[in-house]
Amino acid sequence: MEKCCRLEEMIRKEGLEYDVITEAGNDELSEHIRSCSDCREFVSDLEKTSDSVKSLLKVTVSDSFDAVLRSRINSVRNEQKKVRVEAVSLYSKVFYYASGIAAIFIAFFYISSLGLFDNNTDGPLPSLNSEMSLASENAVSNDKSAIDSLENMSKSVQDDEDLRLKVSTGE
Amino acid sequence: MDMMNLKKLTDEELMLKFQNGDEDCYSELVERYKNKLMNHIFYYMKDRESAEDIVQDTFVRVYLNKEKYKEIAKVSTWIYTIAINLAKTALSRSGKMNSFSITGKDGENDYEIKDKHSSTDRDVLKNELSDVILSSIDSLEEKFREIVMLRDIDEMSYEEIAALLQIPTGTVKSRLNRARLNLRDAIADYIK
Repeated sequence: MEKCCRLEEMIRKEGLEYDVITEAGNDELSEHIRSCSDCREFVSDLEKTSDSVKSLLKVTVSDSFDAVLRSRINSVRNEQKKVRVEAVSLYSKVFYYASGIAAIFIAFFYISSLGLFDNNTDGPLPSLNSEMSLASENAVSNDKSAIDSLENMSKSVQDDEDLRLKVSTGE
Repeated sequence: MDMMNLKKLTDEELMLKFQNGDEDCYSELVERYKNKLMNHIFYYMKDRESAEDIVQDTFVRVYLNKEKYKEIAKVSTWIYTIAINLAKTALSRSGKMNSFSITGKDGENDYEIKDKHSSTDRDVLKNELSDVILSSIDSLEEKFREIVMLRDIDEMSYEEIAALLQIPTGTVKSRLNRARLNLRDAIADYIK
């Protein structure tokens, strides 16, 4: 008697889904499988094949897997931190130099606006030279008046001494 | 958050918390996927050391690119996509096409056999069967091999496989059947 290959051919030629075989409940195919020993054997062989593959192979990671992964993650984290620190340091340097240069420019423009380097005395403000000479003249005149007042003070002290001497001698 | 509570969270919830800075959630994701990925990638690389490197790289990328994960995809799909892409890139660079080996470099087993009660004779038979199945899987077309690995080895649902490979669920099922038919032919003598 020739072997029945109906189910096998359906799978090979029509791409029948395995679920259709195992879950077929009430249709004609399910009835056929129940009554055909060849097809039942075929289903059983497929299931055994699947079980063989499932049960044979389980490859697992080595014992050092977690430690190695942790160390790799830590080095990645450190690398990321280092990159962040370097970026911050670079930004700080750029900011520092830019601030310095900006301060020099601001100072220069401010001083220029005051006209302190300008020799022309007709400007809104006195020139540096005239201001300095005015200041030194004032200082000299202040010094002179201070010397005069000291001399006056010492003269009046001397007069007081003379008067006190005259009183004591009864003159 | 303690570890017990982390276990109750879905992958997507863990990922969201990790994106907000909770690194314990990252550790939990690693715990959930490290062996699944290792098992899967081993079949791409066919070498334990390379597979473990790929799995390491995958988790480093997950860590570095956490912001790129969007909730529209499942976390498992995202992680597997990263791992598979890394494995394919590594393979294409090395041009490596080794056949499967069931033993490690030092002769140690590269996999664990679930049946702890098997006798020595059955172990021998199982190892022989392992070799045959591995060779058979290796000889499958890429599109069939991928699905057998994802379904029978990684135990993913049809929907997860469909999302990962971006194909309809029906195509996943029909490819899986074809693949199983080919495997059945190869191991018929062992499973009778």
